[in-house]
Amino acid sequence: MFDKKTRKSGRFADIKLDKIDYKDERLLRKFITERGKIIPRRVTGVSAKTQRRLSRAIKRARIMALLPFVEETFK
Amino acid sequence: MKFYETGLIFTPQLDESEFDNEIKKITDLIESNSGKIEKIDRWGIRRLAYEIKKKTQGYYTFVYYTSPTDVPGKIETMLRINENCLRFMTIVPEFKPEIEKPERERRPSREPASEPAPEPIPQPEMEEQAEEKTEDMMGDEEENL
Repeated sequence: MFDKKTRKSGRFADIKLDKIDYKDERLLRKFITERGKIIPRRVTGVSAKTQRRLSRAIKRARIMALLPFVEETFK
Repeated sequence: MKFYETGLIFTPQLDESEFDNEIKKITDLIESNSGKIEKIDRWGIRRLAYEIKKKTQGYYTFVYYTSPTDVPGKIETMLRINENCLRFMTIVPEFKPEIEKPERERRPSREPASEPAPEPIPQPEMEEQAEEKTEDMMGDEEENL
């Protein structure tokens, strides 16, 4: 599994997170599951602060129908 | 005065002039309350992630402006009774978008920059071609062996 403290692994390793915007669907898609759930920090390995910014952006994107609350195919 | 960003989704059934009209209503309200429009970003018609009022598409527009703090509330009261508006949201953004002024400053520098810009584009192609050639050559060698 993941080395909890240090390693960012796999598909989260080289994602640039300097600007987090709720309109950036392509970036935010990387941090939700195919069902539409926000992927937890223990999996993504981002800092607590970044995770808060991400989840805020994802929630805003959901309100503006840029991202799903629950992906249609799973309803 | 504070910097705001209001995202709007209008029903896709309107035509272009009606979208203009809806956006103008917002910008007029901001300007009449001594606010300043910084940027209007029109995405146009886009698929919604889920249905809103039985619509699967919406006309997205984002308005960036600096205004007194009572303006977002006024916009909200106006949009709430607007049937054409499927969804709206005002936020204080984390960072400012590229606003017209810096773009204007950059534009002159872009023009000379645009001349050398096409050059690096063919270069990777050349490299790719070269790589392909070497691969071909290696393939030939293998065949020869």
